[in-house]
Amino acid sequence: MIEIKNVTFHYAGLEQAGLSDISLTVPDGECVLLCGASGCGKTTITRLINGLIPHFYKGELTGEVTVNGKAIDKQEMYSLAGLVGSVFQNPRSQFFSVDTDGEITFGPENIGLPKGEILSRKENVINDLNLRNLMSRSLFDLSGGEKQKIACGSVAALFPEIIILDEPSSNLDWDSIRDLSEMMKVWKSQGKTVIISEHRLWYLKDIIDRAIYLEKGRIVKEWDRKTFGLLTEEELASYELRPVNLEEKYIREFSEDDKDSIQIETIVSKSRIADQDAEKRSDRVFLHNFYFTYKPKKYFLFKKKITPEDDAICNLRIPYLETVKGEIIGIIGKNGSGKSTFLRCLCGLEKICIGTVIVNDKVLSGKRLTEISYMVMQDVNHQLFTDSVLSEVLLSMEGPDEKKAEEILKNLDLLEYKDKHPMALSGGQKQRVAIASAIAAKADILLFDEPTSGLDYRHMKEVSTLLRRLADMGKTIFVATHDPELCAQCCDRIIRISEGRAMEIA
Amino acid sequence: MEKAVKTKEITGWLHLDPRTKLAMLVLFSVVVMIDVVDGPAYAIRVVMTFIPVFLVCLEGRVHIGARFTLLYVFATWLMQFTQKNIHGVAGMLLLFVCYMIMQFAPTIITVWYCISTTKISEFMAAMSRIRVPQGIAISIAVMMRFFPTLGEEYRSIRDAMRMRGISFGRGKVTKMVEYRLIPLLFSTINIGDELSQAAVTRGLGAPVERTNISEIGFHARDFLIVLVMLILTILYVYFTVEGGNVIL
Repeated sequence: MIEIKNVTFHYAGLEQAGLSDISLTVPDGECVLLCGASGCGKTTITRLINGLIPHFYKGELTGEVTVNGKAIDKQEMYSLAGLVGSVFQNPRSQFFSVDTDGEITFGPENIGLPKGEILSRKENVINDLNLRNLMSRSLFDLSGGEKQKIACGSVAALFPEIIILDEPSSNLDWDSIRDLSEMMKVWKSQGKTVIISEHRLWYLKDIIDRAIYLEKGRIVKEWDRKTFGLLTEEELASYELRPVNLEEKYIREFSEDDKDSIQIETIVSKSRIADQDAEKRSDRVFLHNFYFTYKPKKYFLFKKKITPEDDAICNLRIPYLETVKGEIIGIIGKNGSGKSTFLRCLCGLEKICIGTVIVNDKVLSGKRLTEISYMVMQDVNHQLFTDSVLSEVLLSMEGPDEKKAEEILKNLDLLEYKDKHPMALSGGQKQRVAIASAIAAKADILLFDEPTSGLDYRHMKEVSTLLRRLADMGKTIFVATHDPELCAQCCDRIIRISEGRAMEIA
Repeated sequence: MEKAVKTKEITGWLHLDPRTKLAMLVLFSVVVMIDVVDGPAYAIRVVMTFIPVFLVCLEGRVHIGARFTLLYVFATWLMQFTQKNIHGVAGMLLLFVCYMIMQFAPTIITVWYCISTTKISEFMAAMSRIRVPQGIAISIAVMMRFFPTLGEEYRSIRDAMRMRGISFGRGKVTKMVEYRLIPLLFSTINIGDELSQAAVTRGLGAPVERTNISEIGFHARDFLIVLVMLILTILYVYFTVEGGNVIL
């Protein structure tokens, strides 16, 4: 049993919101959902239970947290390890080994269990959670969904009574999310207590026993499974929660097997593009011959280019795609299906791809694609280089023009931050800084890789409005996403990539 | 960023004991530290350089071995060519570059071989067998775990720079370094934080004797490699001392 009594907490040295006067009791075997907007305190509650507060995150803590009658703050982290297991948001930074087997046995080895016991636990976990086909692999070669499964296995191998998941689905595709919910069902049937903090709610509605809604560090509302399932879209929207049934409906629509989808043409000759009349050519963007493989042909010094003839070994096979300028194209598909690869090829990052983009009668390929396209990466921290927002924008311009830069910033509501360090901004603001530098670089094609992963309802809506505004400026936008709502709200077309082939969803 | 699914065994089929690799590294660094330019010692040095390269090829990475060989041979040739034909500042610069390649490339490929073919659990097992304190073993293991992550991060940042056309820092070397290091620092701090959270919630650092389930042990090939390396190193030291040209 978990008991949280009158807990108030403030992070030391962080502006991050804390908790005020939280009381919560979770009996054994219950599955509890913590929901609410970003910064409402749901992650902080999970940290109270797994001991990261007060052992890892320091701050002012009053009140009492006990698990099975033992006070968390009086225990050491390692003695909690066998009792509370935690799965975190980011799949790439929560494994310690470099191989899958080592990761499953990592926890039991740490607490010094005998060898035979560890091996039998490993077998157990592999069977329970259906991980057999992931064994003996390098963790660096797994997709996000597979990594998250291994993280679950690694936690389960410690046989904890309580399992805590902190936004585990943020980086996962829909199939992986379903797998995740299967794992949670297994844990429930084993009588484990499951606490989950999450924005995406559709996969949880049949699993949870209770939903707790937080706002600014306080518990505001509680529903049991039945009443939670009966909440209408409007009610959910008024709490700024993601619509449960609507998301599910979209997912069904978007992942429906090829019935309604049209295979995009396979063979197109170059002359077809030239034959189009001038008017049509001027307001369209043509993509031609996008092929790519992860297993390049054997080479000694220089990688060989990939051409349509290599179709058999390709992970990406898009011979032809035509879009109207100012269109938003949603790209969906499983983890590892080739979405990100397509975006990388489209902005000229994959040297062996011979893909060509024709826009305004300019024929661009290879390195020159970087002139017209710009990708906002999933982790925007990778693409902010300077010490102020303004210089970030100026860096992208051919000739620095401060006036123009300020105008761009103003358009994106960033002008007041122009002298701030980009790393001091919030996630959404960083994203906008990256977009500002894309506009400054005069990119016609903007690419977004999972722009809404881990975002709550309000921030997701903000992103979708922003994309629409960019499209109205005449930018052609490609968005790779797992977010069904984002697709439904702002995409003009949806293309599903499966096994590297593009399918139009009608 | 998503990567395609590919199956790859981490530990190569040679399956050398981590202790063998450690011995190899130690012996190899002795050779690197003592510098010679000709005579029998030089021949031994070249032979020892190519032992790890040979192992890399045996593990199925022939193209990497071949590329290294090409680089090494080219650097050797260029060095001799420069000594004879190019003088002045340009000559000095070229000599310096060649010297760096011949000095560091063998070390890098040896270290890379040892790290990339060792599972962390095997490494931990080996460390506890040779009675290295757990604290030190864990620190080294964390470093080993961090290299590939650092590589992934670095590649993303390099891509982002390419996209903005600032790979060469607009002509300024300081900017070139700055643009790479600043995002790298921020993201490694974040990842380090998340990594340690995951580790402590899984009981790392418990004051109990850590179990190691990895099977490690010496085989004939381990003895063979250590023996050959040891004999070569002794000969190398003998020849250099004999020749009187020891530069430590």
